[in-house]
Amino acid sequence: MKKLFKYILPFVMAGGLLSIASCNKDFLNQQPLDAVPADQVWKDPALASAFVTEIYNGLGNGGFDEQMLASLSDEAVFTHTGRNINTINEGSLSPTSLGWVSGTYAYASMYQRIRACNLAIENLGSPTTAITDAATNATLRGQAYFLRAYYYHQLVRYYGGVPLITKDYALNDSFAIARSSFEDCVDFIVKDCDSAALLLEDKTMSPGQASYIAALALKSRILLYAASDLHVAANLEALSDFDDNDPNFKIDQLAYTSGSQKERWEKAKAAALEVVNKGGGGYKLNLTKPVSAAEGTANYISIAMGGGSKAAGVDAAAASELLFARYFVAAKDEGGEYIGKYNGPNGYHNWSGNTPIGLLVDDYEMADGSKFDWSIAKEKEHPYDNRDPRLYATILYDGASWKPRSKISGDVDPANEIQTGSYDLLNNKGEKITQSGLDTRSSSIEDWNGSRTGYYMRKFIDPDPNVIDANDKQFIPWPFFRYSEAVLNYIECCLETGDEATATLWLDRIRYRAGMPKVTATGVDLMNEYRNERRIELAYEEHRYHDCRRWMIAPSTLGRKLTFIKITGKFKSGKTMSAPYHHDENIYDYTYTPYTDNGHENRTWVNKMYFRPFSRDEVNKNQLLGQNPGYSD
Amino acid sequence: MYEYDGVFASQAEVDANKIDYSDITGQIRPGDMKFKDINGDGKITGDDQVRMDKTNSPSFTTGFNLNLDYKGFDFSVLFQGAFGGLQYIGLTESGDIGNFTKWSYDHQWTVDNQSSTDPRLANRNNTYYADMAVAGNNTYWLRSNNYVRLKNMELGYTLPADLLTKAGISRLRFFVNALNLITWDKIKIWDPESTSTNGQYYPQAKIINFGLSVQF
Repeated sequence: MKKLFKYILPFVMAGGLLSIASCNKDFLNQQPLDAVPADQVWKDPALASAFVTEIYNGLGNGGFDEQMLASLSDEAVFTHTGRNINTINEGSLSPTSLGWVSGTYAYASMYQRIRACNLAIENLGSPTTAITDAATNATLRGQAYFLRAYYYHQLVRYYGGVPLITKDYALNDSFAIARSSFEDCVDFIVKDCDSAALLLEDKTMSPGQASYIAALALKSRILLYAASDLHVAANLEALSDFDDNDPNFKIDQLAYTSGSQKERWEKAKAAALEVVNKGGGGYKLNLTKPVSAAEGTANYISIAMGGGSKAAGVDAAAASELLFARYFVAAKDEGGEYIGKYNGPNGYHNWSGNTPIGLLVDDYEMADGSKFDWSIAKEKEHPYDNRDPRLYATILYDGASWKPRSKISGDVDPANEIQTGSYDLLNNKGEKITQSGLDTRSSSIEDWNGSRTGYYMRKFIDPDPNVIDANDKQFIPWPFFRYSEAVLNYIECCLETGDEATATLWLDRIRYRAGMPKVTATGVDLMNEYRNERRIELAYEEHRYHDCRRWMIAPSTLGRKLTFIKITGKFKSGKTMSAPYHHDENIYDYTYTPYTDNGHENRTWVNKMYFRPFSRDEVNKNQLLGQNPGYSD
Repeated sequence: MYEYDGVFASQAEVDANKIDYSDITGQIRPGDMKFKDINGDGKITGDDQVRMDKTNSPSFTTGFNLNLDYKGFDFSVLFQGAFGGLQYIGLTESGDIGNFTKWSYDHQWTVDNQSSTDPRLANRNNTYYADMAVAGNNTYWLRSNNYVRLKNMELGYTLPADLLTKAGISRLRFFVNALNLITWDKIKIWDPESTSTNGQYYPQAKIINFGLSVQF
């Protein structure tokens, strides 16, 4: 033992000395391998570009989350409970219980991204910037301006005026800052759009990146909102139950207190016209008479697919409608690729999330341009015949043909049709039974995921039969801005400024593309016609929730009770059918009964819902943040 | 977190209620949970939440190990225990897509059993008092996860060596042992060692082994 020590000890000591000798300060001062220091980012164009590209993450999946904004409007209802959607739709939202807030407009998420934009703009715009290549610098700065404008526009359209932060916040800065006026916010967004447009005007951008035309489209939208009735102070002051006791709140944070609304419409009109003129003309918007109904449906499907579908009959050229979109690629696994699974029928092993409600389906006109009416016997007997061709591209209803059904549960539906009713049927013993459709909440397949409304969303689901929604990804882009929105904005501004002829011209073009006849209405009727056209054309695109509020028609639209459809198929006398069932009007008498449902969501409207509440935590953090009316007392 | 204060047992109790719940729910129904109005402003809001110092990690864990040998017999036992933690229980996503626990079934407000202590169950936690984004963060769902467990126990007997040498065996031992044999806990619904709030946790097995070990 002693011997052992004798030999080992010198080695241990030598080792100790060596390690002391090799110890210098550098090795304690390592650069992290998984992060880049801030000062390096702004010296290297590639790193700066990566920084700016990251800011796009604030866009999330666009509108393609499992829960869609459509379910906060009179377009759809969300099937599954416990998601805090009813908190909003039933009017019980409060600073304590905000209800469902998507990350694509949540207060904190937006400011996190705005801070990144501010950093980019500060550093790239600094006279000592190391990104000296003018084109690179302008391209990056232009994107940052666009994104900052976009994120502010998200805040402004949900909350009203918000604190305008233009510098990058550091930890020691004061977080107490008052809200800017609505007018200042709009001006700020417009200015950022102008800056972005100027910087990006002659640049070639990749799909999904901000661009010159995207900046103009955003400007058109925010000016349209600014001109709307909701943002006239007198209109808000006339609302009942719209009081605010918060001393930090002022009405100019939500609306214009001076200036002329007419002038604002003129500004919005000019901005919309600029997009109409420079936006590439959209898709088939130069028609002079309606296309056939089948073509109208096909056109609308092609537009919704935005070039992302390989299905037969889908025209990839319709991607020309997209001015700014969120694209999806196979290499990344993202929620937005599973819109088919989130919303498709349970009988296809999907989740039927955002199901269209009767109120939406009923607002599709008849193919001849007249209103659909349940009180007309012929229309009640065949509610899905001869309707606006876009209905067939937007909604799956009882008897509609759809993709091949999975055979996992047997060959239960060789006809591949949607089944949302209950039907007489002969079972294998020849006895007459009543069978619930495969796509109902009494289905033999995953009944807990069945639609409550009797309808399913079709619009953004890839109709390609090779895409099995329950398993496969789809690559349909989310349209943040499309050409037709700008056209509709332009129509609205024309109507508001008394130019019915131009408005009708463009309204007809949108209708011709969809296979609908020209409009004949004038005056108030024409305005209503336009509003319905916007509802139908932009269904499920995150417009309705805002449009109903800015038009101040929310009580009679968003606040309506839900309507569902009940469908029964009874054998005609002397006719029978053995399982498996298929839709057949020669054998069945179908009865369609719309009904109101308050059990799932007891929708209502209270005026505080015109704007969202700031969360209690944000008000505690920022003592000067004035709470919106109806939420503080 | 909100402090649980019983349940509205009947419509009469709902009607008699003077506290404003409108910040967390649009409508109170029989079977809904009551909360304490901590700041006394007549309303239940986020300001009525209190700080909870305990977490689901125990503040004290302990073990007890005992070995006994007597002649050919050997006996060992390990007790394990943990104290001072609180665990969320009962917020299972049950209803349309799965079953409730038997405990929830036995402890719920129904029309026939108008409990003043246990609330009404709802599909997928669709109530203000079960939804974590509203006021599911309340003390009703907290239970002590204190427990003492007989973690393992072994009893063996080794035959005397002189009996075995003729058979060419140097050692022969019979034994029986058991894992997770007995648990004394307060949770009762599932394993107190689980930190899952919804019970989605692979349960620990109760195992009993009988064995024989032979050495040549």
